Parts: sequence; structure tokens; C-alpha cells
Amino acid sequence: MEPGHPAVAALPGRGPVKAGLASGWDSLLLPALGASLLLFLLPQALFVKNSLYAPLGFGRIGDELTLQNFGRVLTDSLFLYSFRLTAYLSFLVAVVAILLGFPLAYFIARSQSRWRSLLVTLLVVSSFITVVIKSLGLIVILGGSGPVNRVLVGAGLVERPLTLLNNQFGVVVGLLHYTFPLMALVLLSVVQTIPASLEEAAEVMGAPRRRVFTRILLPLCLPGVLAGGLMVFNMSMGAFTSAALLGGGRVPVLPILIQRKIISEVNYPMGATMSVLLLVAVVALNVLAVWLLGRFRRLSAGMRGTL
Amino acid sequence: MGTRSWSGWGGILVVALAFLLAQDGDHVAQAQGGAALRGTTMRVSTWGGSWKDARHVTAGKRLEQLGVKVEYVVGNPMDNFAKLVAARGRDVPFDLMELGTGDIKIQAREQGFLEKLDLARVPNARDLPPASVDVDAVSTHLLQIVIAYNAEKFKEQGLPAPTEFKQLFHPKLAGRVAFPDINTTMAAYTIVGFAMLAGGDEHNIAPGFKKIGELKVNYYYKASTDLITKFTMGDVWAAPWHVGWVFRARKAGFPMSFADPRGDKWTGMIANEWVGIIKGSRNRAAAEAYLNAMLDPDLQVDFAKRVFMAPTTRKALQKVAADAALRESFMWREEEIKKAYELDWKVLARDWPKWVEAWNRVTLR
Repeated sequence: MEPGHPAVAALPGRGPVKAGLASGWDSLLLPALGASLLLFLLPQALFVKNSLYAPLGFGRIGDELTLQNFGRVLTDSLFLYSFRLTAYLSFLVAVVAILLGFPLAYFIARSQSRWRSLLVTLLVVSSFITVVIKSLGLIVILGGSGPVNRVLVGAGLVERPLTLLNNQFGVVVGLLHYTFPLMALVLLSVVQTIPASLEEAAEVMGAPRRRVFTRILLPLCLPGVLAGGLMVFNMSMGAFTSAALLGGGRVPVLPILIQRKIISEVNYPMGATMSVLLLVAVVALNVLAVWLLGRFRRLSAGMRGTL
Repeated sequence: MGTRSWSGWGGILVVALAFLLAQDGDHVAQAQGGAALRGTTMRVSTWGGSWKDARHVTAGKRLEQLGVKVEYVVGNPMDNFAKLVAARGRDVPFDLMELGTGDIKIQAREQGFLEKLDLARVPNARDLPPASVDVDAVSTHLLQIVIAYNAEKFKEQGLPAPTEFKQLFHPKLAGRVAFPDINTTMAAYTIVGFAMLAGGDEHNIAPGFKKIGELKVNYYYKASTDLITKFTMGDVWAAPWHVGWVFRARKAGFPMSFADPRGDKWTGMIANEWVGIIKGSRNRAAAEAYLNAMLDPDLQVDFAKRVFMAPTTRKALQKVAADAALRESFMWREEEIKKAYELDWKVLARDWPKWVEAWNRVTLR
């Protein structure tokens, strides 16, 4: 949340930050920003370059610039299906992560319990666990003879074990498991910046809980929710491990397709072309989301102004 | 003393020299190369898990005795081949490569990645049959593709031993069959086996991919270590696999059994698996010594006992014949091998990108 945000300004002990001090501290971020940009831009530049040459087989590339790879990929039904599937699964994961993460974040933010810090610690620790370990754990839990299926069959809810792995369901659960702690932490930081007194004031004025949520909490949280949702969406679009381990080679998300182009076919130009298109699509979707949010906020402000 | 005495000493020297030359060339090579190799670090690309461990406690330890530090780059041959291609023009990522089946050997040769072998520097290679020696690679073991199955589950379901790939289509096996991923060594044979069900073979592979699309697969396995977990968890009941893993699973107490797939004119599927030295290696002498150790008859048998794969040198095969447990573990007799199917790897090396393309379209849709 921006420093000038009303909710932040209303926080006790949070006066306006001195511009000079802020810029001084900000400059400390420059080396990290530079390193990140370098590590991001260099590989991307290499991928963009590779995408502009024809593949000659087994890792060799042509020496004449061409756009033929883009033409081939964009008319390839498997790539187009894979792109739609990746975007759909990533969107689904982002929505479910918001729906599950928001109540948890709200509960922790407003809780006075002594267990609160333990819950936050658990979230932080679980976000450190590598995705491979998380996925392997899910393979045991969701397997045909795993605890989930044993409970379902034991309780008589299903006749035979459900197929929870090696399909899209398994991949969605894996991606959720991977991204959920980060989503919950982002939402927690958002909810914490909204003073509980705002909700209390609305309730004192007679607003029911649902109205407090839709008119106070949600509008104030929306930028943070969107940022968290985009973060999860972006992570899911590029996630390879969960799809590889929990999709059983049957869920053709784009990272899997790119890996096959590069490893199985040793076809760097086509793999690079797919990577470039994935990056462009993700950046475009993010820009679109931010633009839509800005438009929504301007519309909301306009509506409030006319009331 | 005098002249007679000198001629006596000369005779002894000649006899000693002849004795030395008659000894296993391995030890001579080690004695010659040992001092030169001390302090070098070499890298071997190989499969991971228990395979790498078995390589290290056999050939790797022999090299350590010579003062060589051995590092491993693990992954299946296709992944490691991709690393080799990616490093083109720079330092090679490993000195010695387990190439797997013949197709990758041919691809690596055509791309100029393999060093021609000087068999005088790999003396144990002299004991290999002609089919296991090539100009730039030697075969260290035989891969035997089988249909592995959970014997208990098959008994429970009243299913017969699956001696043909078509039995994997049995309705009771729907969702219980694992299929090797295209990057695994087992994939090529299995795809060809499926093509044969519909009148094709490696020269006419399209029917194979069509049949794969019809199979109700549980998942496409990339690593045998992963597949063994799926078998023990009860998710998978049958899979085209290699016989080595069947025995490793049995050794761990799992009720695994296997059947050799059969065709009209053949029984069983078998392939030489190759090892070669990478062109540009700065540790060629160490790579040759490692390769020689891989072909040492005692180490070949020790390796066979660990991974249950047939050795290739004649002396090692004689030792297998004398070992009651080992001789029933895998196909190794000449007459059995003659009856088994071996792919035309040249076709595979030529058509591989088309196979991958077809695979992606069938398995990912």
C-alpha cells in the first residue's frame, strides 16, 4: 500500500515520511534492483535473440534473422491449447488462493490470540519449503492409497479411490500449495494496514457486516488483493515443477511444452519463441489488470463524487 | 657370474616381461597411468539414484584408488545430451557419458561430440563381442525391456501374466498402467511395441502413437525412482520397464514380477547401452581408465549384482553363468539374445524430432 494511502496515514504513529529520508533509503535498493534487472534481462535477451533464428536441429541455429518461429508457434494448435490451459489454470489458482487466503489473513490480522504469531511463523516457514518437497508430499497424500482417499472410501463417500493426481486437479492443488503461503502473507500485510477502528465506526453507524465488507474492507484491500492475485497468477504461469510432478506428463502447460522443446528436441529457437510469447502474454495481462484497476478506482471515485 | 650369469638374468627378465604382458591389461594400464592420473578430477554423466551409486562403488572406487576424484552429472541420457549441446564451443560439461541406447550414440557422433576410442588404452574392451564395440563407444551392459507388474494385484484381479503389450489394454488395468516418458530409455521400445500391435514398427511409427492415445494411462513416468513409489503406493499395477528395476523392487520386498514381451518372430526386447568419451575432454586418460574399469570382469559382475543388468564382456558372462542367482536375473545367453528384438537405431536417430512431436500431440491432449 502506498505511503499516502488514507488507511496508512490513519495508522497510529505513522506520520508522513520525510521525502529526503525516503529517497536516501531508496537508493540502497538500487544495487539489488540493478542485479535483478541484469539477471532478468540478460537471459531474456538471449531468448529473444534465439527466437529470431531458424532451428537447424540438435541445438544448432541458422544465421539469418527470421520471424518464421513465431508464425509456426502461433498457428500451432497444441501451443494455443497449451496457452489457454496455462492461463485458465493460473487464473483458477489465483482466484482460489484469494478466496482461501483472505479469510485466513483477516483472521490473523484481527486476532488477539497468543497463537497469532505462531500462525504467521507457520505461513512464513511453509513459504520457504521447496516446491519439490511440497509436491512429493502431495503425491503421498493424494495418491490412490493415500490418506485423503482412505478417508473418503472409509467414510463411504466414494466407492473407489478418486484420481486426484496426474491430471489438472493435481496440478491446481500443487500450484495452490506452492503459492498459498505467499498469497496469505501479502493479504495479511494488506489487512493489517486497515485500522479495525474503520470497521468499528461503520458498525456503530449501523452498517451490517456484509456492508462493512463490501464498502470498507474490499475497496481498501482491492489493490493488495489484485497485487497478490497477479503475483500468484504470474508464478503459476511459469511454474514447471508442480506440473511436471503432479501432472504425470498429461497436463500440457506452457513450461512443460518449453522444457520438451529444449530438452527432448534440443530445439532452442522454438523453445525460446514459446518463452518470449509467454513473457509477452504475462506482461500484457498484468498491464491490462493494472489498467482495469485504475479505471475501476476512477469510476468509483467519480460515483462517490456524484453522491 | 660371467656370461652365463648374465644370460641367466636376461632369461629371467624375458620371462618376467612375458608374464607381465600376459597379465590383465587393466593392471598394466593402471600401473602406467596411475601416477599421471593422481590429482585429476573427472566428470561422468550417468543416471541418478542407485545407478550412480553402483557406478561409483565399482568403477568410481577403482579410479579413486588411482588418485582420481570422480564427480557425477546425473540425469537421463537425453537430458545430458541437451547439456552437451548447450555447452557447444565451451568447456565440455563431462568427460565420459553414459549414452544409453544406440540412437543417442549416433546423434552424439553425428554432432561431433564423441572421441574415437584407442582400444589399446582400454584393454578390457578387447574382451567384448563385436556387437558391443564401436569406433567411439563401447557397450557396458544390456538393457532388457520387460512388462513389469504387481504380481499380487494381478492375482487378485485374475489377470494373466502380460506377455504382450496388448494385454495392457485390459479393462481391469484402466488407469493402472504407467508408460515411459519419451525421454526415458524404455520409451522407444515401448512405442515400437505398440506400433507392432497395429501393423507398424520403427519404420512406420504412426500406428504406435495412435495406440498409445487409446491406452488408459495412469501417468507417463520420467524416472524409475518415481515409478517404484507409484508401484508401492498401489497406484500403478503394470508398466513397460527394464528388468533391473524388477529385481531391485523384489530385493526391497515388493511382489514385482515381469514378462518378456513377445511378437510373431521374437521374444524379449534387448539393447546394448553405450558409453563414450566426450571430444574436448581435458581428462581423457582418466576417462579411459574409468571406461576400462567399467569393463573389468569382476567390476562388471559386481555392477550386475547391484543393478541387475547383464554385463557385456565374455569373462563377465562366464562368471554370470557360474552364479546361480545371477544367471536367472536377466537375458544373457547368446541364443536368447539372438531371439530378442533390437531396434534399428539409425531410424530412431534420424526421426527422433518427429517422434517427439508426435508424442507431444498424443500424450498432452
